[in-house]
Amino acid sequence: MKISTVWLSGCSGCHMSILDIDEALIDLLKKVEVVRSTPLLDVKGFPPADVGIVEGAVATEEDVETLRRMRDSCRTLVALGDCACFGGITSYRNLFDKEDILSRVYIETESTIEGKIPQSRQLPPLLEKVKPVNNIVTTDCYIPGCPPSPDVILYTFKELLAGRMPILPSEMASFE
Amino acid sequence: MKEITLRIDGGEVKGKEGETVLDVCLANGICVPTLCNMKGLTPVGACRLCAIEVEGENKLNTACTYPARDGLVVRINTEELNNYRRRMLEFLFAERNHYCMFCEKSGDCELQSLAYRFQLYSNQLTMFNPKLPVDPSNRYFAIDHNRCVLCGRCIRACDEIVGLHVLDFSERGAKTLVTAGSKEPLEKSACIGCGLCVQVCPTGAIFDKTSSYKFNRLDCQKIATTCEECGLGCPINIFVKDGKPVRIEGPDLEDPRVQLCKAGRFDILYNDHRRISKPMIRENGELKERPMEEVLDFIVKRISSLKDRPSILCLASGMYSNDTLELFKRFATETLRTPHVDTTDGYWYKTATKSLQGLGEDVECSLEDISKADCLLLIGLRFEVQNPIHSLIRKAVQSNAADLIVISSIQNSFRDMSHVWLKPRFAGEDILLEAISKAIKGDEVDLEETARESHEKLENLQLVIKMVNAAKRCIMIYGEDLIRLGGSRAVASIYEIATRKGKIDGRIPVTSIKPRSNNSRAWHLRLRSAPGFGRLDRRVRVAYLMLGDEPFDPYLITSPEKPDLLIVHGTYRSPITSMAHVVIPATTWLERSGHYDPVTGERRIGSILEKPASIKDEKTVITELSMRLGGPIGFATPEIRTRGDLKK
Repeated sequence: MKISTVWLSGCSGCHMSILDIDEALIDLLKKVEVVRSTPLLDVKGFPPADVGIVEGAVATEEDVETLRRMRDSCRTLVALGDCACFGGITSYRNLFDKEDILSRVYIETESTIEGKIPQSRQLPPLLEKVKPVNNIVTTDCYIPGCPPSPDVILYTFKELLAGRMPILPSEMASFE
Repeated sequence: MKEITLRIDGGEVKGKEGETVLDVCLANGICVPTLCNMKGLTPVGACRLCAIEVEGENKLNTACTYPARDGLVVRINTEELNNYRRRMLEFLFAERNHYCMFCEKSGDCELQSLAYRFQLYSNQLTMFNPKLPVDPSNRYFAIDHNRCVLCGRCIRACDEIVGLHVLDFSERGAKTLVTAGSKEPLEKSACIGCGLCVQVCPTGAIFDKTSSYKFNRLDCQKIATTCEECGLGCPINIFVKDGKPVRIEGPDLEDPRVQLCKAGRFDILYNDHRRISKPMIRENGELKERPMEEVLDFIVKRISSLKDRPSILCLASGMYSNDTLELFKRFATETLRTPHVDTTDGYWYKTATKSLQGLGEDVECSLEDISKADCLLLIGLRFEVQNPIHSLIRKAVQSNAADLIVISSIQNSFRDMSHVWLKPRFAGEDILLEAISKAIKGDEVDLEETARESHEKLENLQLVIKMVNAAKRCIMIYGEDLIRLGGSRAVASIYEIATRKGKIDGRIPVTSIKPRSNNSRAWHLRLRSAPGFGRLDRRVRVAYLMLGDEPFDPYLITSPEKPDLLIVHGTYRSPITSMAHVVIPATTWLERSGHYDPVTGERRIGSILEKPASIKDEKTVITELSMRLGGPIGFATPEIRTRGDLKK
C-alpha cells in the first residue's frame, strides 16, 4: 500500500503522533510504502498513492493547491487531526480579521521594532478564513484528535490495510 | 391516572396519561438523546435532538413536548432519525465557536458527549465563526457566547426556579444571544449571582470562574450535605478534589424547595480569609505562636486568679452543632460559673423569646408551609442571600393567588413581585407593624397618624390590614434586617399579629430566617445571657468567645475599651482576634460534624474535609480546659441530643 502524507497549516503534531506508534512502525513499514511525506521525506511533486493523509487546516492559497493535487493523486483521502477535520486551533484566527492578525503578528508584537507585513510574491497569500479539508475537496475518512493518539493511528492503518474504510468507535475518538 | 399503551420502535410500552413521549421513554429505559431538556424545567423542544416520527403526522415532532396518548405509534431510534440528529448537531457546531480543547467543560459537556455518540468527526456545513463577546462582569461566573447552544436552560431556570427572569434571549436567528436585563453586563443587571445558570448549562457557555479549567467533575468526590452559611440550611452538593472543595451545586431541579444563593454556591470557594493555624498569646502587644500546652496553662492561670468569675462573658457562634453548644454551656455555667452564656447573635432571639412566651408553643411554620399560604408578609428579608425561599413565595403567589406584602424601608428585591410594598421612612418598620397589629386586634388606632409618622400612604396601610384580616393562612417571614431596622418592638408586633391570627396546623404562622445555622437549637438550649450582656461592652472585663468561622460582626464590639482578658477560638484573622489576648485556632464548618437544627429541619451533618493536623477541635480544647480548671466535665459528653430529648 502506497502512502502519501502532507502537512498543511498545522503544527506537525499529527505526524509526530504517527511516528509515536513506536515499534509497530517496523511491522507497518513492511506493508506500506511512504511515497511522499512533507516533514519526513524531501519528495517534490505528488506521486500516485493508495492513501493520502492530510494534516492541518487550509489557511493559504498554497494549501488549496496542495490539497487539490493530493486529492487527484490519492485514491483514499484521510483527514488526520482536529485541524484537518474541523479547522482546529488554526481556525481560531477566523475570530479576527485577516488584516488585524497580520498586523498583530508582524508589527504589534512586543518584541518587534519597525516591523512590516511581508509582501513577497513568493509567499502564499492567506485565505480570508481558515477551512477544514472537506470544504475544499471530498474527504473519505476523518480521524479527529489533537493529536490523534498513536493507538488511533495504528487502528486507522490496520483498517486501511484490511481494505476497510476506518470509522473510529466513539470510545476511541477524542476532541481534545 | 389512566394507563396508556404506546408502540415505540415496534415494542409495546406502558405509560400514564398526561406524560410526554419522553417521560414514557425514560420510565421504560428507552434512550432518547436530549440537550435542551432538563428535569424540573418546562420542556420547550428547542434543540430538536429528541425528534420522533409519529405515525399519521407528516412532520417530525419532539419527544419532550409531544403528549403521549393511547395507541400512539412512535419511531425514535431509526437510521433516518439518527442522521437527522447528526445534522442538527452539525448545525449546533457550525453556528458558534466550539473548540473542545480550550473549553472549560470538556469532559463534562453534554454537547461533546452527543458528538461522540453520533461520531461527529467532521462537519459537512461551513463553519460560521461568528465574532461573539464574553461577559465576565460577574465576580463569580462568566458567560461565553461562543459556546452557547441557545438551549434556554439558564433562561428557564432563572425564570421558573429562581423566579427572577433576568436572563432571556435578545436579537433573532443566528444573532440570538442569552442576555441579562436589557442587554446589560451581568453585573449591572438585576442578577443576584445565585449561579443556578452555571449549574444547568450543558456546555461551557456559563462557567464558574474559580473552578474552571481545574478539574473534571467526574474526577471529584461529590458529597451531599447541608449548607451552614445561614440559618436556612439548604441541601448542597460539594465536589471535593485533593481535600479541597472545588465546585458546589444545589440539589436537582426536581426538588425546587430550596436552591442555593451565591453565599452557598460561591463564597465557600472564594474564601480568602487568613487561616489561624497555631495557638497564640499576646506578649508585649503582639500575638506570638505558642504550643497548645502553654496556652492552656496560661488561660488556667489567668482564670484561676480571677476573683469575680460571674463577670465572665461566654459567647459561642450559632454555627456550632448541638453537642458543641451544649458542652460550651456546661463549660460556662459549671466550670467558669458565669450566668452570661449566649450566642454571638443573642440579640436575635432575645426579642423573639419574650414575644413567644405568650404563645406557649415555639414551633414556627416550616418552609413547606410557605408555599401553601394565601397571604405572605415579608419583613426585613435579604433576597440576595436568602433567595431559596423566593421560589416558595413565588409558588404561593402563583398557585394559591397569595397576597404578597413587603414591609421594608430599604431597597428590597421582592418589590417587583409584591402586591403592596409598604415603604416607611428609614427604620420605621416598627411603627407600621405596631399599627397593623393593633388594627387586627381591634384596638383603637389612629391610622392617619401612623401614616403621617411613617411617611406611608394611608390607603396602602388600610389595604394591608384588609388583606391580613381576610387571609386564612397568613404567614409572616422575617429576617435579620428587621432586628437591625425595626428593633424589638417590630418583632413583638409580629408575634402579636401571629397570636391574633392563630396557629396554622399547630404552628405559629411565623417563619424567622435566622442568621446562623444552629440558632434555633441555641435557643432551645437556653443559651441566654442576662439582659444587657451579650456583647463586648464596657462592663465586660473577661470574655471567652468561641467564634469559629462565623463572619465578623461589628455589632459584637460596642466599646473601644479592651477587656482585661479576651480568649478567642477563631478560624480566621479578624478585628476580634487582633484584640484578643489568647487565640486558639478553630475549625471551619466543613470540618465539623454534629447535629444541627436549621429552618429546613433537624439533621446530622458529617464533616466534609479533614481538619489540619495542627488544629484541635473545639470540643477537645474545652474539655481539656475544663478538666484543668477543675470543672465537672469529663471526656464522655452526651453526643446526640434531639429536640425530643430536650423536652423530657
